[in-house]
Amino acid sequence: MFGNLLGMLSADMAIDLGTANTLVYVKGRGIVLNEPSVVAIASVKGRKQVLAVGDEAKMMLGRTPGNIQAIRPLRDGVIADFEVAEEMIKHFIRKVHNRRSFASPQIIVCVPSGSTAVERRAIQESAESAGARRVFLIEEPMAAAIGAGLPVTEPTGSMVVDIGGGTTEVAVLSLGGIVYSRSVRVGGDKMDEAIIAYIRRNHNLLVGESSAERIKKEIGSACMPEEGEGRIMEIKGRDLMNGVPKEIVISERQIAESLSEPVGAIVEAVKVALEHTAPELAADIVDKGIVLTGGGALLGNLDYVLRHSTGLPVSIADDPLSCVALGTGRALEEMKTLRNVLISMY
Amino acid sequence: MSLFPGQKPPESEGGPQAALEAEPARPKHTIGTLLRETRESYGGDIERIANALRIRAQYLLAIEEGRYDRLPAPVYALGFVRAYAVHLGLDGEEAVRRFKQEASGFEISRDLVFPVPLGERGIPRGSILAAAVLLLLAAYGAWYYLSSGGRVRPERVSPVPAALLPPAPLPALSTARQAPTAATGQVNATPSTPPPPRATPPAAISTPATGSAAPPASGATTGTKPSTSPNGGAAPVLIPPPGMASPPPSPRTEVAPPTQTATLPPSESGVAVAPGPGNAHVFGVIDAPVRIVIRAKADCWVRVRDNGGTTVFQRLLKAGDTFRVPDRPGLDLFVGNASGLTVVVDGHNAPALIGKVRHDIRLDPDRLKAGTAVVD
Repeated sequence: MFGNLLGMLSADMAIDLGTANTLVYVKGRGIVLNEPSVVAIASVKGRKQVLAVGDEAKMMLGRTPGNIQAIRPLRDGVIADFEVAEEMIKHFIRKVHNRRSFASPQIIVCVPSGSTAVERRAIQESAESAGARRVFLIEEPMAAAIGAGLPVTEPTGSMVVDIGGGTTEVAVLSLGGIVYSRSVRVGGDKMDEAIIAYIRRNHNLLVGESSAERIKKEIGSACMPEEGEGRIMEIKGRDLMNGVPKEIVISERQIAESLSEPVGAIVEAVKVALEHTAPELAADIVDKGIVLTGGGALLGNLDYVLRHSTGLPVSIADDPLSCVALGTGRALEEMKTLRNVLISMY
Repeated sequence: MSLFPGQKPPESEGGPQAALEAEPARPKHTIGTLLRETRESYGGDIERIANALRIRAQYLLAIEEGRYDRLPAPVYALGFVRAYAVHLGLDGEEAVRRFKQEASGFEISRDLVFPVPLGERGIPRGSILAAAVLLLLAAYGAWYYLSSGGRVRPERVSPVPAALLPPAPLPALSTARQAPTAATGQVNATPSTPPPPRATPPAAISTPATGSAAPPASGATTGTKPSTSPNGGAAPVLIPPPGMASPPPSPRTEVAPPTQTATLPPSESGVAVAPGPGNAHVFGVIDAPVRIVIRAKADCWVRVRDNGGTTVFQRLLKAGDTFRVPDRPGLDLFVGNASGLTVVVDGHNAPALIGKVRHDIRLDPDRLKAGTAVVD
């Protein structure tokens, strides 16, 4: 009864708790928040206090003094630091409710389809201790497919590839359920790491995570240019040989080379999923193809690579970054009809 | 591989891009015709493009011809348009934007309808349950009404003890209470404010609550009070003390019978009660002469039923209480303490009953006098 009363004071939320970015969808208002999943924690006299969350905290990433830590509480799509994740969710709830207390919203959070029961429980519990009245979970590929507008409830196979920050989810859906899903822990983060490793190996230059992400967004490509070096970019970092800051120029071809491993892993995951797809569903997928969602879908030429390695039409969803949040939000709006895609870990 | 070498997807500038930017001035040019013109200007074969994009040629043709109903779900159609435009060296995003504009009817996101199991419910729905409960209650009510013969349950009201009654409002009463002779109380005066008309005829009960309101009321106060109340239903109930030793001749006893008959219906089923001397009460027919009077010497439970089994009277008579039996044939008496009763028939004591619990004593004056009334 009391919970219902508090529910009237709160706006229900759908959270795409991603490794890289967290998107918050508020019932009746749409996506209201899109911030990096980063929390800056300051130690004041031995007590840890949240200094900043989101964009502000991301600016601090890799630039913090001893008493401040900029933490990404999620790794590989699941919670790596329980307390910090809870603080982050709490911050988002407060921000959505304009710092009004007593907010106790109903929250839907999406989880990777390959996450274990323990990891799902961790996400649910951190949302609950952040002040949620009720927490439901939804599997990311289902949310992505709903958000992208795939006809998931029809008796026809749809394949969605959601490339997030921490994981890549490949799933075949039909009749409102997941027929087959495969989650590989390769995503934007792994691409950044691959870029860092490549530059260190070939140019003896150490670049930070943020720089690597920027390189990926600007000149990243899944396949090498057919001729020449492609686009070029100046990058800055610390020289490993003499320890001084240095600036070098890197080309699209080099970045494509560095990204070949994570891109290969994604292609492999899609191929394995296709191998496990029932023939009827495979026939549907041959006709309509694969839909790419998530930030990874924006990597240049990834659709081209997938098209040529699978022989299927590949479409990039509209606004791939928000697909999961939109799908989770739709599950929140149409809770009654979409009830059976929601999971509760009780 | 790609149809136009060197035109690798997103970045490509030149003729087609310029054509797209020039387009908006000619609204009759749909995105489909633009794509077709661009393709034909390159001399491209739709089959080869379909092969390169892995998109079925029929879908590409549907886009070119604007037959959007032949395309799969919007998300795929948008992907096809984007891929086709990019392949032809056009701006993919602009092509998608224009396609969305043109295919606005097609663009509606469909409702998601999940397959639900066919109705095989184990538990009926709440409304059905509620209706069933209401029906049960109604059935029980009907059964209860029919089984109780449709009559109203309470037939008598036990007298309110004098101790609980409020004192009479007049100061004269307090002086009158001093006189013990005045407390014989056979006269029932109403309080100055008449009570609400509770004793309506169907109830057939003269309420002692109003009658015994002022048992100490004596001749000192009677003169000051109106002998009849304006509303006849709650008229002062004046009960002649039947069988009492000394009925005080009051000027108001002559007034009483008409009012009394007004309140009580002539039916003998009316069981009235009137306070006797002290704590003794008189029950039964008090407004008409009766042949049988039962008087309790000791506390005794009595019940009188007619031959239909309907209880006419039932209560615990205290020592000194009197029950004036209605004059009608077929009444049976059940007693819990037979030896504690004195039965008076036509003013003479009938042969004494003996024993404790007796059933089926026929209340027939002749049999009582003969001593053959006890059946069992």
